[in-house]
Amino acid sequence: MYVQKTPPPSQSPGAPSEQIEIWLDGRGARLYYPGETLAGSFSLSGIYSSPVEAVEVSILWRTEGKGNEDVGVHEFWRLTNDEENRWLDPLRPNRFSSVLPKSPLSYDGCLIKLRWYAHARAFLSSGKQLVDETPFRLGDLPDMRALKLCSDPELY
Amino acid sequence: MSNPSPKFPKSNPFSTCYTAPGKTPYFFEAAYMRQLKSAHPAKFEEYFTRNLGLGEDQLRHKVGVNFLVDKFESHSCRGQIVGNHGSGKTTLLYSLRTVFLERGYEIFSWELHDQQSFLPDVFWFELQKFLRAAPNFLPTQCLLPPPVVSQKDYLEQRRAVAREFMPDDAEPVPEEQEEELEFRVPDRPEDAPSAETSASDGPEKGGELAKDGAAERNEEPHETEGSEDSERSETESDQKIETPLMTLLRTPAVENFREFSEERKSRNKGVLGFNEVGNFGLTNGKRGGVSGGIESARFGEEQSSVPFAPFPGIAPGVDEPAEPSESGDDEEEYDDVRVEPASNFPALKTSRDRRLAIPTLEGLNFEKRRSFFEKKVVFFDGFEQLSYVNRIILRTFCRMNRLGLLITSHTPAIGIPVLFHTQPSFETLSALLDRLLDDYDVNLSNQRVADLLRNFHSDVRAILFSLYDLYEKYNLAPAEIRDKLSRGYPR
Repeated sequence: MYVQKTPPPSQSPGAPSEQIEIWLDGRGARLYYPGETLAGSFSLSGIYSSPVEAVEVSILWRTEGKGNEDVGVHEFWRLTNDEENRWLDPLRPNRFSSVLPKSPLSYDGCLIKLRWYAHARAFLSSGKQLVDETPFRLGDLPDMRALKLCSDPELY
Repeated sequence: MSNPSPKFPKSNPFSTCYTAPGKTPYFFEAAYMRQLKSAHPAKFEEYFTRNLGLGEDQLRHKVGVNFLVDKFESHSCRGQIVGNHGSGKTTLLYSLRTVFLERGYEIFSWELHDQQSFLPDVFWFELQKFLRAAPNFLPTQCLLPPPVVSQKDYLEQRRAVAREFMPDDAEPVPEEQEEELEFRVPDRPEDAPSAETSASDGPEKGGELAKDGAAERNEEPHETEGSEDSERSETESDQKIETPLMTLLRTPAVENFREFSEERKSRNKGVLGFNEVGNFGLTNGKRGGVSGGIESARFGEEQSSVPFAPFPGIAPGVDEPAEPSESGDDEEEYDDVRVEPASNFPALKTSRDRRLAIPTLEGLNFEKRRSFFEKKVVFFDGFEQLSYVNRIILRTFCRMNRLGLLITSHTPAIGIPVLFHTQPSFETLSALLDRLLDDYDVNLSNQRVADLLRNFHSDVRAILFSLYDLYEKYNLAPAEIRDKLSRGYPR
């Protein structure tokens, strides 16, 4: 049988760029509760020129606001493509899952915000890094800013 | 599966995770770049072509920062960035940091906390650790200032040291007596009051001091002491009580320090002042007549023809004179010095802590020694908060240890060349806001930007904080009052 071999596409401006994507399973609102299992997958695309050396997947939270930032890592996986651990297939999505903790809950305030992310980072042999992250909410705390403004419209 | 969902609001573009120093580059004005181009066209073209692949803002940033590093190196690796509150001094310092690292420098960064006017102990410990991590480390413990402790802690430490050095059969001294002795024991043995004069002061204390002086003379007999006093002191020393302080004063480290201070006094004959290149040091009394400054005075160089060392260290072209070694003492002292050329750890080690690990200059390449610390810089943010004494200490320490020094300050510090004066303008603030609001549907008119600069007195930090608050309100407000908000805030 004749099989036509398609050459790898060159890195032209029209070609798809190298990227990593991460998705979360479940509801579209991406609202999870403490103790619930968070599952998802990540995949690499457009990688032809340089092989992938490692992929890091983490579930973490970050604070944003006027003051100093804070970061907490709930779960972290590092998957390498060395000889002992041949796992990485860039053409297929890879899965991950973790049980979410009880705290800290997602929070949107004026001075500080706490946000949860599923974060993926790929290290290419060329030295380039590809990053993608998907936010989600842990817990269902109300937006304190909206409550404040609704209770006192004169604040505007 | 879509990624991401529009339900999740965007982050506030004025959060510190986007606006903190190091998160955004420093924006140089076009006028400044034109000045650089006209003054150094060849260098400008070199940096321009080297960074051609970058965008316009990044290209301008790279060229400007490289010029500043060149200026820093041309000023003997010293410099300061001067500017008001929120004018971008720390941001520029972070931008310079990347170029310093690209050029192979090792950087020790320190940021002084608010309301802190002295160099804390942890600063010296960390700096010492940084220096020790260097290959071919020169021990610098003797140059470090003592840590700041209270009088009570100081006495406690003295007692602990005395206990360590005190022989087992010696009796401990009560605290009151030790405090009194602290102010009575002379610095040098020959300055000790004689038994006759001290005995005339009082029967109890004078007799005690006589015992101390006699004890020291007993340990270090001088040529002039051959009279009746010495004989009498010898007889009295048999009955004296060995105090821990006396034991401490007879340790080799104290004796070495005495010898060193006497030698230094004999060499440091001159007047402190500024020489012709603007450096502060030991001069021969005339402005422009230089005798060598601190380092050369320490090493005992010639007085007239040697210029002051422009960079911390030894004057150029002058070989450091070897300390005259008496008999074979040095060989015994440093016989365990070993050289580990392939290692990154300190190459020279010695068993004694209080002496330099380099006995003589034989076998040492002087040029190599000069380059030990050439690529080491101290970044100090908040120099203006330091007290006058601490500024002098920091500058002197960096000079004596051959470290570069780059500081930020509100007003120009004397003796350190000014590299750049940060002054936010309409152009730089517009570039910063364009960068921050790139992905957002929020626009600020030119008139608003100019008003912000005027109302906040060019304090970009305060402007960004107020814009943070405005965005929070704007983001949640109903559509009908958004326009009102954007017109009214920030004031």
